[in-house]
Amino acid sequence: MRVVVDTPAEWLHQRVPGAGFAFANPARTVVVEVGALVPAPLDGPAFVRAVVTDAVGEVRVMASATERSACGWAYDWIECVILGEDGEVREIRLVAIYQFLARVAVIRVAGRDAAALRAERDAIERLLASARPDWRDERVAAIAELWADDSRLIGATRT
Amino acid sequence: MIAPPEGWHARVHDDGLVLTAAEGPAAGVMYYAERVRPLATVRDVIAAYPAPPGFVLAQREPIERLLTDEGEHAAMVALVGTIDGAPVERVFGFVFGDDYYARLVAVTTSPAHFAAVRAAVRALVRADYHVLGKRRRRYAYAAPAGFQPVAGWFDTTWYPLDYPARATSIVVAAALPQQRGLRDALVAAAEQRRPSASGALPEPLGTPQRLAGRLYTLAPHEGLRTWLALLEDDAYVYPVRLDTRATETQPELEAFAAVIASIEPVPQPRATIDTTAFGDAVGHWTM
Repeated sequence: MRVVVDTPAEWLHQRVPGAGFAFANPARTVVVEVGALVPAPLDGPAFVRAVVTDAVGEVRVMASATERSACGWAYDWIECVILGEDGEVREIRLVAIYQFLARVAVIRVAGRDAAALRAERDAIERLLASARPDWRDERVAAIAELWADDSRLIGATRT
Repeated sequence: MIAPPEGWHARVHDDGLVLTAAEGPAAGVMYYAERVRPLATVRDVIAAYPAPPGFVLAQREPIERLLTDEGEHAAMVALVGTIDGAPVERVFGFVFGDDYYARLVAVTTSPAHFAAVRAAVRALVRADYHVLGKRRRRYAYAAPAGFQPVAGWFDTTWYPLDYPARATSIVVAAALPQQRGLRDALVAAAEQRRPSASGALPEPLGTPQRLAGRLYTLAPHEGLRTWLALLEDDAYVYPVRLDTRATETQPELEAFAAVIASIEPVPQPRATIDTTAFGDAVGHWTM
Protein backbone atom coordinates (compact mmCIF):
# COMPACT_ATOMS: atom_id res chain seq x y z
CA MET A 1 0.00 0.00 0.00
CA ARG A 2 1.15 3.51 -0.63
CA VAL A 3 0.15 7.12 -0.95
CA VAL A 4 -0.72 8.37 -4.42
CA VAL A 5 -0.31 12.01 -5.40
CA ASP A 6 -0.77 13.96 -8.61
CA THR A 7 2.33 15.88 -9.62
CA PRO A 8 3.02 18.27 -12.47
CA ALA A 9 4.11 16.25 -15.49
CA GLU A 10 7.48 17.97 -15.74
CA TRP A 11 8.48 17.23 -12.16
CA LEU A 12 11.16 14.63 -11.60
CA HIS A 13 10.38 11.37 -9.82
CA GLN A 14 12.74 9.33 -7.68
CA ARG A 15 12.47 6.51 -5.15
CA VAL A 16 13.76 7.14 -1.66
CA PRO A 17 14.63 4.74 1.17
CA GLY A 18 11.78 3.62 3.40
CA ALA A 19 9.19 2.63 0.79
CA GLY A 20 8.46 6.20 -0.11
CA PHE A 21 9.19 8.30 -3.14
CA ALA A 22 10.07 11.88 -3.95
CA PHE A 23 9.50 14.51 -6.58
CA ALA A 24 11.47 17.61 -7.45
CA ASN A 25 10.55 20.57 -9.56
CA PRO A 26 12.64 20.96 -12.74
CA ALA A 27 14.84 23.61 -11.10
CA ARG A 28 15.35 21.25 -8.13
CA THR A 29 14.65 24.05 -5.72
CA VAL A 30 11.67 22.21 -4.21
CA VAL A 31 11.64 18.55 -3.19
CA VAL A 32 8.48 16.71 -2.17
CA GLU A 33 9.00 13.52 -0.20
CA VAL A 34 6.00 11.23 0.06
CA GLY A 35 6.35 8.81 2.95
CA ALA A 36 5.01 5.31 3.39
CA LEU A 37 1.56 4.45 4.73
CA VAL A 38 2.30 3.31 8.26
CA PRO A 39 0.11 2.22 11.18
CA ALA A 40 -1.21 5.18 13.13
CA PRO A 41 1.07 5.82 16.10
CA LEU A 42 -0.27 5.39 19.61
CA ASP A 43 1.13 8.78 20.60
CA GLY A 44 -0.06 11.12 17.86
CA PRO A 45 1.41 14.40 19.21
CA ALA A 46 4.84 12.78 19.69
CA PHE A 47 4.70 11.50 16.13
CA VAL A 48 3.90 14.97 14.81
CA ARG A 49 6.73 16.50 16.83
CA ALA A 50 9.12 13.89 15.49
CA VAL A 51 8.27 14.39 11.82
CA VAL A 52 8.40 18.17 12.10
CA THR A 53 11.56 18.49 14.13
CA ASP A 54 13.78 15.74 12.74
CA ALA A 55 16.01 18.21 10.95
CA VAL A 56 19.41 19.26 12.20
CA GLY A 57 19.06 22.77 13.45
CA GLU A 58 16.44 24.87 15.15
CA VAL A 59 12.90 24.44 13.91
CA ARG A 60 10.53 27.37 14.07
CA VAL A 61 6.86 26.68 13.28
CA MET A 62 5.47 29.55 11.23
CA ALA A 63 1.94 28.40 10.51
CA SER A 64 -0.31 25.39 10.75
CA ALA A 65 -3.79 24.41 9.65
CA THR A 66 -6.08 21.46 9.10
CA GLU A 67 -7.19 20.91 5.52
CA ARG A 68 -9.25 18.42 3.55
CA SER A 69 -7.94 16.66 0.49
CA ALA A 70 -9.90 16.52 -2.74
CA CYS A 71 -11.25 13.12 -1.62
CA GLY A 72 -12.10 14.47 1.80
CA TRP A 73 -9.22 13.06 3.85
CA ALA A 74 -8.21 15.34 6.74
CA TYR A 75 -4.59 16.41 6.99
CA ASP A 76 -2.62 18.70 9.26
CA TRP A 77 -0.38 21.12 7.49
CA ILE A 78 2.58 22.71 9.23
CA GLU A 79 4.99 25.27 7.81
CA CYS A 80 8.31 25.73 9.54
CA VAL A 81 11.71 27.25 9.10
CA ILE A 82 14.87 25.34 9.87
CA LEU A 83 17.65 27.56 11.09
CA GLY A 84 21.36 26.88 11.16
CA GLU A 85 23.70 27.56 14.07
CA ASP A 86 24.20 31.14 12.98
CA GLY A 87 20.48 31.67 12.65
CA GLU A 88 20.53 31.52 8.89
CA VAL A 89 17.59 29.88 7.10
CA ARG A 90 18.66 26.43 5.96
CA GLU A 91 15.35 25.27 4.66
CA ILE A 92 11.70 26.18 4.49
CA ARG A 93 9.67 23.07 5.13
CA LEU A 94 6.01 22.15 4.80
CA VAL A 95 4.88 18.98 6.50
CA ALA A 96 1.49 17.44 5.79
CA ILE A 97 0.30 14.61 8.03
CA TYR A 98 -2.59 12.54 6.77
CA GLN A 99 -4.85 10.15 8.61
CA PHE A 100 -6.04 7.39 6.28
CA LEU A 101 -8.32 5.08 8.28
CA ALA A 102 -5.97 3.30 10.71
CA ARG A 103 -2.81 4.50 8.97
CA VAL A 104 -0.94 7.73 8.62
CA ALA A 105 1.35 9.19 6.01
CA VAL A 106 3.62 12.19 5.91
CA ILE A 107 4.45 14.38 2.95
CA ARG A 108 7.38 16.73 3.40
CA VAL A 109 7.99 19.64 1.09
CA ALA A 110 11.43 21.20 1.36
CA GLY A 111 12.25 24.48 -0.36
CA ARG A 112 15.71 25.90 -0.86
CA ASP A 113 14.31 29.23 0.22
CA ALA A 114 11.03 31.02 0.66
CA ALA A 115 11.05 32.31 -2.90
CA ALA A 116 11.36 28.77 -4.28
CA LEU A 117 8.36 27.63 -2.29
CA ARG A 118 6.37 30.70 -3.22
CA ALA A 119 7.01 30.06 -6.88
CA GLU A 120 5.64 26.52 -6.63
CA ARG A 121 2.93 27.24 -4.09
CA ASP A 122 -0.04 26.41 -6.32
CA ALA A 123 1.50 23.15 -7.54
CA ILE A 124 2.35 22.15 -3.97
CA GLU A 125 -1.14 22.86 -2.71
CA ARG A 126 -2.66 20.85 -5.54
CA LEU A 127 -0.26 18.00 -4.84
CA LEU A 128 -1.05 17.94 -1.13
CA ALA A 129 -4.77 18.05 -1.82
CA SER A 130 -4.49 15.16 -4.26
CA ALA A 131 -2.99 12.71 -1.75
CA ARG A 132 -4.97 9.51 -1.33
CA PRO A 133 -4.28 5.94 -0.28
CA ASP A 134 -3.81 3.00 -2.57
CA TRP A 135 -4.63 0.15 -0.23
CA ARG A 136 -3.40 -2.67 -2.41
CA ASP A 137 -0.66 -4.74 -0.83
CA GLU A 138 0.63 -8.27 -1.04
CA ARG A 139 -2.51 -9.68 0.53
CA VAL A 140 -5.09 -11.24 -1.74
CA ALA A 141 -8.19 -9.10 -1.31
CA ALA A 142 -10.67 -11.34 -3.10
CA ILE A 143 -9.93 -14.97 -3.80
CA ALA A 144 -11.11 -14.63 -7.39
CA GLU A 145 -7.79 -12.80 -7.88
CA LEU A 146 -5.97 -16.08 -7.31
CA TRP A 147 -7.00 -17.65 -10.60
CA ALA A 148 -7.82 -14.48 -12.56
CA ASP A 149 -6.19 -14.32 -15.95
CA ASP A 150 -6.36 -10.56 -16.10
CA SER A 151 -5.62 -8.27 -13.16
CA ARG A 152 -7.89 -5.65 -14.69
CA LEU A 153 -10.84 -7.88 -13.85
CA ILE A 154 -10.22 -7.43 -10.17
CA GLY A 155 -11.05 -4.34 -8.19
CA ALA A 156 -11.00 -0.77 -9.14
CA THR A 157 -9.53 0.85 -12.16
CA ARG A 158 -7.23 3.68 -11.26
CA THR A 159 -6.03 6.85 -12.78
CA MET B 1 -0.90 -34.25 0.23
CA ILE B 2 -0.64 -35.92 -3.12
CA ALA B 3 -0.20 -39.52 -4.15
CA PRO B 4 2.35 -40.08 -6.94
CA PRO B 5 0.71 -41.16 -10.19
CA GLU B 6 1.17 -44.80 -11.02
CA GLY B 7 4.61 -45.44 -12.47
CA TRP B 8 6.09 -42.20 -11.17
CA HIS B 9 8.96 -42.29 -8.73
CA ALA B 10 8.68 -40.02 -5.69
CA ARG B 11 11.26 -38.78 -3.26
CA VAL B 12 11.01 -36.27 -0.46
CA HIS B 13 13.08 -33.18 -1.07
CA ASP B 14 13.29 -29.95 0.92
CA ASP B 15 9.87 -30.20 2.61
CA GLY B 16 8.31 -31.23 -0.68
CA LEU B 17 8.20 -34.02 -3.18
CA VAL B 18 10.01 -34.60 -6.44
CA LEU B 19 8.19 -36.93 -8.82
CA THR B 20 9.90 -38.39 -11.86
CA ALA B 21 8.15 -40.17 -14.70
CA ALA B 22 8.94 -43.84 -15.19
CA GLU B 23 10.26 -43.05 -18.69
CA GLY B 24 12.76 -40.62 -17.22
CA PRO B 25 13.06 -36.89 -16.55
CA ALA B 26 12.43 -35.89 -20.16
CA ALA B 27 8.97 -37.43 -19.90
CA GLY B 28 8.26 -35.38 -16.83
CA VAL B 29 9.54 -34.13 -13.51
CA MET B 30 7.22 -32.58 -10.95
CA TYR B 31 8.01 -30.56 -7.88
CA TYR B 32 5.36 -30.41 -5.16
CA ALA B 33 5.40 -28.05 -2.20
CA GLU B 34 2.74 -27.70 0.45
CA ARG B 35 1.87 -24.71 2.58
CA VAL B 36 3.72 -22.12 0.55
CA ARG B 37 3.28 -18.67 2.06
CA PRO B 38 2.16 -16.00 1.52
CA LEU B 39 -0.91 -16.77 -0.50
CA ALA B 40 -0.29 -15.39 -3.99
CA THR B 41 -2.02 -15.22 -7.34
CA VAL B 42 -1.25 -17.68 -10.11
CA ARG B 43 0.03 -14.81 -12.24
CA ASP B 44 2.45 -13.66 -9.55
CA VAL B 45 3.72 -17.14 -8.76
CA ILE B 46 4.45 -18.13 -12.34
CA ALA B 47 6.10 -14.77 -12.96
CA ALA B 48 8.43 -15.24 -9.99
CA TYR B 49 9.07 -18.98 -10.23
CA PRO B 50 12.51 -19.78 -11.65
CA ALA B 51 12.40 -21.12 -15.19
CA PRO B 52 14.71 -23.88 -16.38
CA PRO B 53 17.93 -22.40 -17.81
CA GLY B 54 17.44 -21.26 -21.38
CA PHE B 55 13.64 -21.46 -21.27
CA VAL B 56 12.00 -19.10 -23.77
CA LEU B 57 8.30 -18.60 -23.26
CA ALA B 58 6.18 -18.82 -26.39
CA GLN B 59 2.74 -18.81 -24.85
CA ARG B 60 1.04 -18.79 -21.51
CA GLU B 61 -2.22 -20.61 -21.82
CA PRO B 62 -5.35 -19.40 -20.00
CA ILE B 63 -5.52 -20.20 -16.31
CA GLU B 64 -7.87 -23.12 -15.76
CA ARG B 65 -9.91 -22.92 -12.61
CA LEU B 66 -10.36 -26.20 -10.74
CA LEU B 67 -11.82 -27.59 -7.53
CA THR B 68 -10.30 -30.35 -5.48
CA ASP B 69 -12.25 -33.37 -4.34
CA GLU B 70 -12.36 -31.75 -0.92
CA GLY B 71 -13.97 -28.60 -2.33
CA GLU B 72 -10.89 -26.39 -2.17
CA HIS B 73 -10.24 -23.81 -4.86
CA ALA B 74 -7.51 -24.77 -7.28
CA ALA B 75 -6.09 -23.87 -10.67
CA MET B 76 -3.59 -24.93 -13.30
CA VAL B 77 -1.83 -23.24 -16.15
CA ALA B 78 0.60 -24.34 -18.85
CA LEU B 79 3.55 -22.38 -20.15
CA VAL B 80 4.60 -23.47 -23.60
CA GLY B 81 8.11 -22.64 -24.74
CA THR B 82 11.49 -23.87 -25.87
CA ILE B 83 14.99 -24.55 -24.63
CA ASP B 84 17.59 -24.27 -27.37
CA GLY B 85 14.77 -24.43 -29.89
CA ALA B 86 13.35 -27.69 -28.54
CA PRO B 87 9.77 -27.69 -27.22
CA VAL B 88 9.24 -27.60 -23.46
CA GLU B 89 6.12 -27.44 -21.35
CA ARG B 90 5.92 -26.17 -17.83
CA VAL B 91 2.65 -26.91 -16.09
CA PHE B 92 1.72 -25.33 -12.77
CA GLY B 93 -0.96 -26.63 -10.46
CA PHE B 94 -2.26 -24.87 -7.36
CA VAL B 95 -4.51 -25.62 -4.42
CA PHE B 96 -5.44 -22.54 -2.41
CA GLY B 97 -5.79 -22.65 1.37
CA ASP B 98 -6.80 -19.75 3.57
CA ASP B 99 -3.33 -18.21 3.90
CA TYR B 100 -1.11 -20.56 1.92
CA TYR B 101 -1.15 -22.61 -1.23
CA ALA B 102 0.16 -25.92 -2.47
CA ARG B 103 2.17 -25.77 -5.68
CA LEU B 104 2.89 -28.44 -8.23
CA VAL B 105 5.30 -27.60 -11.05
CA ALA B 106 5.85 -30.05 -13.89
CA VAL B 107 8.51 -29.78 -16.59
CA THR B 108 8.44 -31.93 -19.71
CA THR B 109 10.80 -31.86 -22.66
CA SER B 110 9.21 -34.75 -24.52
CA PRO B 111 6.30 -33.60 -26.71
CA ALA B 112 4.96 -37.15 -26.71
CA HIS B 113 4.32 -36.74 -22.97
CA PHE B 114 2.91 -33.22 -22.90
CA ALA B 115 -0.73 -34.29 -22.81
CA ALA B 116 -0.14 -37.02 -20.26
CA VAL B 117 1.69 -34.68 -17.90
CA ARG B 118 -1.04 -32.07 -18.15
CA ALA B 119 -3.59 -34.74 -17.34
CA ALA B 120 -1.46 -35.95 -14.44
CA VAL B 121 -1.16 -32.42 -13.02
CA ARG B 122 -4.91 -31.91 -13.31
CA ALA B 123 -5.60 -35.22 -11.56
CA LEU B 124 -3.06 -34.56 -8.82
CA VAL B 125 -4.47 -31.12 -8.11
CA ARG B 126 -8.00 -32.45 -7.90
CA ALA B 127 -6.92 -35.20 -5.53
CA ASP B 128 -4.63 -33.03 -3.40
CA TYR B 129 -5.84 -33.50 0.17
CA HIS B 130 -5.43 -30.86 2.83
CA VAL B 131 -8.18 -31.97 5.22
CA LEU B 132 -9.09 -28.39 6.06
CA GLY B 133 -12.74 -29.25 6.58
CA LYS B 134 -15.59 -26.89 7.25
CA ARG B 135 -14.28 -23.65 8.65
CA ARG B 136 -14.44 -19.87 8.51
CA ARG B 137 -13.62 -19.38 4.90
CA ARG B 138 -13.44 -16.83 2.11
CA TYR B 139 -15.54 -17.26 -1.01
CA ALA B 140 -15.44 -16.03 -4.59
CA TYR B 141 -17.29 -12.91 -5.68
CA ALA B 142 -16.82 -10.03 -8.10
CA ALA B 143 -15.14 -6.94 -6.71
CA PRO B 144 -17.31 -3.83 -6.88
CA ALA B 145 -16.30 -1.56 -9.76
CA GLY B 146 -14.77 1.73 -8.70
CA PHE B 147 -13.88 0.48 -5.23
CA GLN B 148 -10.53 -0.53 -3.75
CA PRO B 149 -9.93 -3.18 -1.11
CA VAL B 150 -8.51 -3.08 2.37
CA ALA B 151 -7.77 -6.75 2.82
CA GLY B 152 -7.85 -8.61 6.10
CA TRP B 153 -7.07 -12.26 6.63
CA PHE B 154 -10.68 -13.27 6.12
CA ASP B 155 -12.72 -10.11 5.60
CA THR B 156 -12.22 -7.46 2.97
CA THR B 157 -13.61 -3.94 3.15
CA TRP B 158 -14.16 -2.16 -0.15
CA TYR B 159 -13.99 1.63 -0.30
CA PRO B 160 -14.81 3.89 -3.25
CA LEU B 161 -11.74 5.44 -4.86
CA ASP B 162 -13.02 8.84 -3.76
CA TYR B 163 -13.64 7.77 -0.17
CA PRO B 164 -14.34 9.50 2.23
CA ALA B 165 -15.99 12.08 -0.04
CA ARG B 166 -18.18 9.17 -1.06
CA ALA B 167 -18.58 7.76 2.43
CA THR B 168 -19.51 4.20 1.65
CA SER B 169 -17.99 0.84 2.48
CA ILE B 170 -18.87 -2.73 1.66
CA VAL B 171 -17.58 -5.43 3.99
CA VAL B 172 -17.42 -8.92 2.54
CA ALA B 173 -16.98 -11.11 5.59
CA ALA B 174 -15.91 -14.72 5.67
CA ALA B 175 -18.47 -17.48 5.31
CA LEU B 176 -19.22 -19.04 8.65
CA PRO B 177 -20.22 -22.68 9.14
CA GLN B 178 -23.92 -23.03 9.84
CA GLN B 179 -24.78 -23.22 13.50
CA ARG B 180 -28.07 -22.93 15.30
CA GLY B 181 -28.69 -19.29 16.20
CA LEU B 182 -25.82 -17.95 14.08
CA ARG B 183 -27.98 -15.77 11.85
CA ASP B 184 -29.72 -14.11 14.80
CA ALA B 185 -26.39 -13.58 16.54
CA LEU B 186 -24.95 -11.84 13.48
CA VAL B 187 -27.94 -9.51 13.23
CA ALA B 188 -27.79 -8.77 16.94
CA ALA B 189 -24.07 -8.01 16.68
CA ALA B 190 -24.71 -5.56 13.85
CA GLU B 191 -27.52 -3.86 15.76
CA GLN B 192 -25.93 -3.68 19.18
CA ARG B 193 -24.36 -0.27 18.62
CA ARG B 194 -27.65 1.19 17.39
CA PRO B 195 -29.88 3.22 19.68
CA SER B 196 -32.97 1.40 18.46
CA ALA B 197 -33.66 -1.87 16.79
CA SER B 198 -34.41 -1.98 13.11
CA GLY B 199 -38.01 -1.18 12.31
CA ALA B 200 -38.16 -2.77 8.90
CA LEU B 201 -38.75 -6.46 8.46
CA PRO B 202 -35.96 -8.28 6.64
CA GLU B 203 -36.49 -8.72 2.93
CA PRO B 204 -35.97 -12.07 1.23
CA LEU B 205 -32.86 -12.35 -0.94
CA GLY B 206 -31.98 -14.77 -3.71
CA THR B 207 -28.96 -14.95 -5.98
CA PRO B 208 -28.23 -16.41 -9.42
CA GLN B 209 -25.88 -18.83 -7.64
CA ARG B 210 -28.82 -20.27 -5.71
CA LEU B 211 -28.01 -18.73 -2.38
CA ALA B 212 -30.99 -17.50 -0.40
CA GLY B 213 -31.18 -15.25 2.61
CA ARG B 214 -32.42 -12.00 4.02
CA LEU B 215 -31.56 -8.33 3.75
CA TYR B 216 -31.74 -6.44 7.03
CA THR B 217 -32.10 -2.66 7.08
CA LEU B 218 -30.64 -1.36 10.31
CA ALA B 219 -31.89 1.77 12.00
CA PRO B 220 -29.91 4.83 10.81
CA HIS B 221 -27.42 6.06 13.36
CA GLU B 222 -25.84 9.54 13.27
CA GLY B 223 -26.26 9.74 9.50
CA LEU B 224 -24.90 6.25 8.89
CA ARG B 225 -27.21 3.85 7.06
CA THR B 226 -26.48 0.15 7.15
CA TRP B 227 -27.75 -2.89 5.32
CA LEU B 228 -26.77 -6.41 6.29
CA ALA B 229 -27.20 -9.27 3.85
CA LEU B 230 -27.07 -12.79 5.23
CA LEU B 231 -27.06 -15.40 2.50
CA GLU B 232 -27.19 -19.03 3.38
CA ASP B 233 -26.87 -22.54 2.08
CA ASP B 234 -26.93 -25.79 3.99
CA ALA B 235 -23.33 -25.45 5.10
CA TYR B 236 -22.53 -21.74 5.48
CA VAL B 237 -23.79 -18.24 6.23
CA TYR B 238 -22.36 -15.48 4.03
CA PRO B 239 -22.47 -12.02 5.69
CA VAL B 240 -22.08 -8.89 3.57
CA ARG B 241 -22.59 -5.38 4.88
CA LEU B 242 -23.11 -1.95 3.36
CA ASP B 243 -22.49 1.24 5.33
CA THR B 244 -23.05 4.63 3.78
CA ARG B 245 -23.55 8.25 4.64
CA ALA B 246 -24.62 9.09 1.10
CA THR B 247 -27.90 10.95 0.77
CA GLU B 248 -28.52 9.25 -2.57
CA THR B 249 -28.34 5.59 -1.65
CA GLN B 250 -29.40 4.01 -4.94
CA PRO B 251 -25.88 3.76 -6.47
CA GLU B 252 -24.54 2.34 -3.22
CA LEU B 253 -27.32 -0.25 -3.03
CA GLU B 254 -26.68 -1.18 -6.65
CA ALA B 255 -22.96 -1.78 -5.97
CA PHE B 256 -23.94 -3.81 -2.91
CA ALA B 257 -26.48 -5.83 -4.89
CA ALA B 258 -23.89 -6.58 -7.58
CA VAL B 259 -21.50 -8.00 -5.01
CA ILE B 260 -24.25 -10.10 -3.45
CA ALA B 261 -25.39 -11.44 -6.83
CA SER B 262 -21.85 -12.52 -7.69
CA ILE B 263 -21.20 -14.56 -4.53
CA GLU B 264 -20.36 -18.17 -5.23
CA PRO B 265 -21.26 -20.70 -2.56
CA VAL B 266 -18.34 -22.36 -0.83
CA PRO B 267 -17.66 -25.53 -2.84
CA GLN B 268 -18.67 -28.71 -1.15
CA PRO B 269 -16.47 -31.80 -1.01
CA ARG B 270 -17.26 -34.83 -3.08
CA ALA B 271 -19.87 -36.92 -1.36
CA THR B 272 -17.53 -39.89 -1.07
CA ILE B 273 -13.79 -39.70 -0.65
CA ASP B 274 -11.56 -41.58 -3.09
CA THR B 275 -10.08 -43.93 -0.53
CA THR B 276 -7.33 -45.14 -2.83
CA ALA B 277 -6.07 -41.69 -3.68
CA PHE B 278 -6.48 -40.47 -0.12
CA GLY B 279 -4.78 -43.54 1.32
CA ASP B 280 -1.89 -43.23 -1.08
CA ALA B 281 -1.48 -39.54 -0.30
CA VAL B 282 -1.59 -39.95 3.44
CA GLY B 283 0.41 -43.16 3.33
CA HIS B 284 3.27 -41.55 1.54
CA TRP B 285 3.57 -38.77 4.08
CA THR B 286 3.33 -41.09 7.05
CA MET B 287 5.99 -43.52 5.89
